[in-house]
Amino acid sequence: MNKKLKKHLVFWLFLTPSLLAFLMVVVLPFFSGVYYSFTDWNAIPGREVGFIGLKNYLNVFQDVQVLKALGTTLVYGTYSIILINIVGFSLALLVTQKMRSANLLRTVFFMPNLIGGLILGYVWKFVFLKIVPVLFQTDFTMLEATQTSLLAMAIVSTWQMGGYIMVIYVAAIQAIPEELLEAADIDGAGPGQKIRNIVFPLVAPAFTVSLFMTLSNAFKMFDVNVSLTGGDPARSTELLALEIFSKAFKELNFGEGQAQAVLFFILVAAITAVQVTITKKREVEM
Amino acid sequence: MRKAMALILALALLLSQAGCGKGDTDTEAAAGNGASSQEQVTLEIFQFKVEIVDQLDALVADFEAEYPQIDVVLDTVGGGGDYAGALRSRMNSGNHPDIFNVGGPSELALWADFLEPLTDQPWVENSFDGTLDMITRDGEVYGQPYNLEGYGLIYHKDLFEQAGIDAASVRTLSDLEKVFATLESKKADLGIETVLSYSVGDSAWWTAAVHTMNVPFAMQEDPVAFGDGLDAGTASIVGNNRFEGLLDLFDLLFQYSYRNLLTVSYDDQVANFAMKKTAVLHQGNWTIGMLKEIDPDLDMAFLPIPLSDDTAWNDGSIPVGVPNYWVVNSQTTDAKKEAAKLFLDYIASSDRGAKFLVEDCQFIPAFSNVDLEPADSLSASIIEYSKAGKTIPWMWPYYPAGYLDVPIKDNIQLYYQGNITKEQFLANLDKAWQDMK
Repeated sequence: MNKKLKKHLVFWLFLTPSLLAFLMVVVLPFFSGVYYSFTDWNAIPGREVGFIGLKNYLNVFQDVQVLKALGTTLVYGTYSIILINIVGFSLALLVTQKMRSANLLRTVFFMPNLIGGLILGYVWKFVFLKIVPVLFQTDFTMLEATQTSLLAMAIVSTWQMGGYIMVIYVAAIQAIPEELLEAADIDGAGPGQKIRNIVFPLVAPAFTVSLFMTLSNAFKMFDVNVSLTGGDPARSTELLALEIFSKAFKELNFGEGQAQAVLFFILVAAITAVQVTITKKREVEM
Repeated sequence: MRKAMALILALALLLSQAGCGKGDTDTEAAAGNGASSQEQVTLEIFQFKVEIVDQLDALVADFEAEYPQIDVVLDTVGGGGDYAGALRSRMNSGNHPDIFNVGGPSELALWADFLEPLTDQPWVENSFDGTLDMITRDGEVYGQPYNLEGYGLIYHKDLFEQAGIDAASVRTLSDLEKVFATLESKKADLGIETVLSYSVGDSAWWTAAVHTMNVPFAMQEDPVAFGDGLDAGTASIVGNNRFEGLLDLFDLLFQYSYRNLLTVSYDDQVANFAMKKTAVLHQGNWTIGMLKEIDPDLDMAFLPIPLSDDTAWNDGSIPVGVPNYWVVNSQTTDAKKEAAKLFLDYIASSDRGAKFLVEDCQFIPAFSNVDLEPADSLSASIIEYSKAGKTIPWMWPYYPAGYLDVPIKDNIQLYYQGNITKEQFLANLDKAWQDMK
């Protein structure tokens, strides 16, 4: 009894601080946000907050910019998911080879992930505007047209996320039993065959995780979007999260922005849920 | 191997924690200061002008030396930052500033509950005619003007002389076109890369969206009545000849500026002009600090921004206005209100304040009691226009909240890219006004 009580005490002692923080900065704001999405709140304290029912939600569905941002997010998401996973997996293969610099390289590849997205965006903006045109001897900058801007954003997020996804793949690749690869060697399988028939199926769980992370990150992308393109030209590179921000903080329409945010939450939750269920089926039990 | 990885991850976690932790300790320290000394008054100022932060810090230091019981905490969000949004956050977080900024009539109405009447303050008498109009409501004055600012097409006097252009001759759009064409044809002689330093995007998006766009509003026969007419639905942007003139002006500016105006930052825009890579800059006299930093010997003046060849539209004028007002939070303690009024009067009435306005910030003061003369060529040019009565007002403080950043900026960029026609441009602006009013 005493032992059990102590165990409980320790359990809650450790849990309470983070639980409190979670309640205060995630759960409470979420519910107050849901409340504000049904009002015409204009963020001026002391003003009466009018309850206007579903009007904000109806407006969201008539907002052309929301649809546009959704389309933009899908395009950007496609670019970034493909790029990040290819680069992450390739890096993982590279650093699990038997070579002397493997450990150093892991650290180096992971490092960009330690830099905040905002700063990254500003640094890369300089690269895209001032360095790339000089390197390629052209007047054209990737940030002046919509499609190349989106690609530029995907490149930056790949640079940032690639190392992180690499770590996940490295863990999975290292968990592959040595004897399987050895047996394949003895049977005369080439490196391509080994990767296709052994590595791929066995890192499928990691693939689930990575795909889930890159997909939801693509949808939630905000910082690089703000600092690299800011939605320019003419809001054509504005992703969903930035669109919500514009609605609330630039048009100063907080109720409608909040309604968009609630719908956005449902969308991201639904997409990731579907994706996890589908990819789970592909995993190989060891 | 695992160990190394764990170490890396632990390091990553540590770094991200450190990043979060810093902000918390700062606020705690600030709160601690206020509580520890009881007689002390902590005056929190939240302002938008990033160009004058150093000068304000120096002013605050001298103010605190003179009034040791007042502790001033200065906080600035502006430039590319979003002051309107940041102010709302501050007000809702309960961390109310005691002095903040209000831009004009729209914001005056929004923040009415938070504004302390300042009509009895000594500087009200000394403010120039018209500078308090936008901050007056029902006979009460609620704010103190920062300064007077003007913008237009800044040009290098020596380059114009070299090209044989008489700047005084520019009154109409055709005149301006001739000037640009002459400069273009003499590019190699003058050593310039581009005629005009302009931008429609990046950190200088407001050059087009706020400043150029203001001209047709300000050149209406009665600008305020036109704004009211838009609100009431009796006036419209479509079919208004000033706005048709604006589109002609845009075409001219686009033609003689950089190949791509979407990615021109504020720094690039101003620096290229300061380094004489361009002959003309579409900006205001607030750039003087930056310009002088690059080249202290620049001699410059303003060209007007014309919309047409009809001189009856106030062509030949430059827009001059008050960028923002200092206001006092009425929902703070009396001691803080007194301290706030003291600080504002220190800016407007003391000798140190006059030095701050004219010498430190190179402002054109909005008060008649300040007898220091602005020394730089841009301020001198604006004063010349003012004395000749050739000024038009700044109308954007009358726009609905949020009208500038999204709808105007967006439509100018769409028009610049050729994605919408002139008719669509005007119709979109009408619609956005109706949606947001």
